[in-house]
Amino acid sequence: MYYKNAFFDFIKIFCAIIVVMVAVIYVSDPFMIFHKKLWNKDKIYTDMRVQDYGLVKYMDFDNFILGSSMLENTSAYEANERLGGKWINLSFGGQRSYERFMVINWALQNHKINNVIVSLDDHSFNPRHIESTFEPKLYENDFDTKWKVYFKSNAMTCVFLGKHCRLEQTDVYNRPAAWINGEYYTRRFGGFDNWIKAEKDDGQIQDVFRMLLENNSHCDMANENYKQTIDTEIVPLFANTDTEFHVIIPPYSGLYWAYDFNNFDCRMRPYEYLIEQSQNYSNAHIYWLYDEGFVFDIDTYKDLTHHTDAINTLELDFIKNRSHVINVNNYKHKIQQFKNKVQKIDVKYYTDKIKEYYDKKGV
Amino acid sequence: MLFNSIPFIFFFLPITLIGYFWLCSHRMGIGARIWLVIASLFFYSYWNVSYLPLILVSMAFNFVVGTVLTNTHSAHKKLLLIFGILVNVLLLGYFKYTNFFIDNLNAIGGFAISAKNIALPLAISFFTFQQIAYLVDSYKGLTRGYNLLNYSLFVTFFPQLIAGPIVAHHETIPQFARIRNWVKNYRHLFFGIFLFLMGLFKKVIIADWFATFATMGFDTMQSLTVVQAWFVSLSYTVQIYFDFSGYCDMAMGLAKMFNIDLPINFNSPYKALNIQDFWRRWHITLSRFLRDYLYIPLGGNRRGYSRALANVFMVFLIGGLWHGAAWTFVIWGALHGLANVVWRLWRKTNLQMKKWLAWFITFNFVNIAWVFFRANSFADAKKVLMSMFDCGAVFGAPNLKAFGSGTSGALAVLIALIIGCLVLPNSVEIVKRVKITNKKSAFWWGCVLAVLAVAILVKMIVIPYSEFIYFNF
Repeated sequence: MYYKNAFFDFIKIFCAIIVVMVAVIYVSDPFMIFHKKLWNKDKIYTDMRVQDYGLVKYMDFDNFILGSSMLENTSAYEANERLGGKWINLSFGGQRSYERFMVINWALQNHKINNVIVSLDDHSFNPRHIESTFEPKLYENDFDTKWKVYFKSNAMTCVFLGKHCRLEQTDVYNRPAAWINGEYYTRRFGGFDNWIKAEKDDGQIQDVFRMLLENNSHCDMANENYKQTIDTEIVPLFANTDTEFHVIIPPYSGLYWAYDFNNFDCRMRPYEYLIEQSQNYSNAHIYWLYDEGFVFDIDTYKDLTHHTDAINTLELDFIKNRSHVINVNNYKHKIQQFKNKVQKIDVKYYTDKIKEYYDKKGV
Repeated sequence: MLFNSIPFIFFFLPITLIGYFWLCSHRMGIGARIWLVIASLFFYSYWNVSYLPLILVSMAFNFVVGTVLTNTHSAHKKLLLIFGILVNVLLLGYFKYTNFFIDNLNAIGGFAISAKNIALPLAISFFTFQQIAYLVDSYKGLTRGYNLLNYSLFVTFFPQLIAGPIVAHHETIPQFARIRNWVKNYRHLFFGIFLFLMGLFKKVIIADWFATFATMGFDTMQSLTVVQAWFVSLSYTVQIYFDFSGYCDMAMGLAKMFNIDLPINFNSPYKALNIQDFWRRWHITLSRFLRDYLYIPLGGNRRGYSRALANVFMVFLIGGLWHGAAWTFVIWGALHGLANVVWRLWRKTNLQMKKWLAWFITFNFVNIAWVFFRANSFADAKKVLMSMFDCGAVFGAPNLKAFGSGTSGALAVLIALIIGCLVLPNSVEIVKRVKITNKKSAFWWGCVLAVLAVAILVKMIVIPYSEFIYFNF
């Protein structure tokens, strides 16, 4: 007799929970998927792979920076001063080409964009999709995916408890995902000895030391997959002729290129191909910073690739002055020049220091 | 269409249920059953409509042959039965085993026959067995009085169509015809939903989680440590348990909503103390089919002890092959056949074994045999098995981090689940214990089910649905 009550109670409670959940998610919408923020306006979700959707849709800008961790520290305010216009930094670390392609297209659909600054790390040429929080369908405005974002494990505790999500107070426009102010990273700037000091509790440096000692990395450009990436996800963007594209080849440390010198040519191949393929686009400007001295000064780096934010400022200056541009006329010379310098780097000096450190440590 | 998909739960099921009971409530019993057949065929062809003619032809053929077998007394009756069974077996053989046959012919004879482009029609193994049983019972005169509509419903009834249970005609056809079952029953509706949600929880929350570890270990990782290998094999043991028992719960729950009781197909198999006991608890309706329509016709235990042992082995070998057209399934079947033979020989000695030891041996045998069942190739099976028993690496680092960040939690849950399978009541037993005697308890049970449903729904939205393991068979 009471089973009818239980059945209808189940239906009613189930519907009530769903309605409440949907309403709370829709109204609070901390990731700005459905609308502009109603409160906590200075807090954004710093997982930019997801947050970029809302930032693009609801923020006001006409220029943007969309790099990897190499451009996360670039200040949009400095860009405003140096380059003019209203800038925003949408960068996120470990960026793949397909991710960048979708976000740029999403931004071009929603705004009239004058300038875009991107960085092209060598790993980003790999066409393979990685496991990440990036939802390609979100940037196609897919209804289901908008909700799916909120049903991921941490998002619910974020919505209902305000916990376990990267909802941080930050300057939304400037450089929301900047890592430069984190003591964990900055303590390593200033020289190789600081890397050694950080080793005991720093997984990144432990990995770097392992790489330097083992020196068994391989170059996955050999299969020429990068051509597919460049042909389908980079060069087609330049067809948006009303927008200027500033492509920065990230200035990794000379040591990065030296320790894996055997793969130097292989790792340069995608850049060469990109330069050749973009030669007919007058709105595509590719910047080469490897003829600057800082590349050979390890004090500027916290690891093999990441530099201080002073270099990000320098990049903005180069863009302003259109200097350090690499093109089909000069790339062979510039790359050869850099290669010659890299060849002179004494990698053994660093590996000896690491071995000495590990010997002392008793590892 | 899958039970664990949004379209099924929020569209197909409510529409089918409401339509069925609306027709029933308007005294249109025949219309209601036609509605259920149409809905079931829609459910079947939602996956791939090209399979629809096959099931329709198969159904029509078997109904005609069955009717003739029931009504004829001619001397050719047995020939007709053999013909009917042969057509079914050939159909199954063509779709399921042609490429397996070609591969082996090429390997043995050095031929270069190219594989045929044959897709395995969904549920063919299940509806073929079900209809072979029907033909045999028609031959024995046990199917008198069934009409095409009830027969069609017996074959296509969607809760059991895709992956069983392999129901006998006398278990469902009388229930479809019973007028009392045409009345909406809230008790059945409630328990049906309860069972369905428990099954969905097992599938979506547990089985799909452990599937990720099993897939990594079997298909992706090149080598495994001892601990990793045991973690992988036990993950699959847990995955298949919760996948199949989840499916069975859902099938029973769905049928219950329509006032139909399906036979119990799964009865806490990991509690088994010997391998025979295991097969009385795991996929019970398949074991029953193989016993009634293979073991007994082969002579059962009526032709001497050695012949009985040979028959048991043969039944498991064929059972293994039924699960899939690959030698790994044959090995799995042979291992279970051998274990059953050893068990019978042991029983003859009248020696007693401690219960915990009997369970330990049975569970570990089943776990090890699952390696062949899961592996895509002998190389994969060898990789996992060799690693499980790589004594030289016993003291090596467990390194479960290779499976992702949450693996230590998964290991604890894995152990808890195995203990749970051993000591806790199963879903059917749980449902039997639930009594709703007043409005307060009705409310609380409504809350329990609603929270369970929301938790599952959230998981289903995040992770796209995955097939049940038994859909492949």
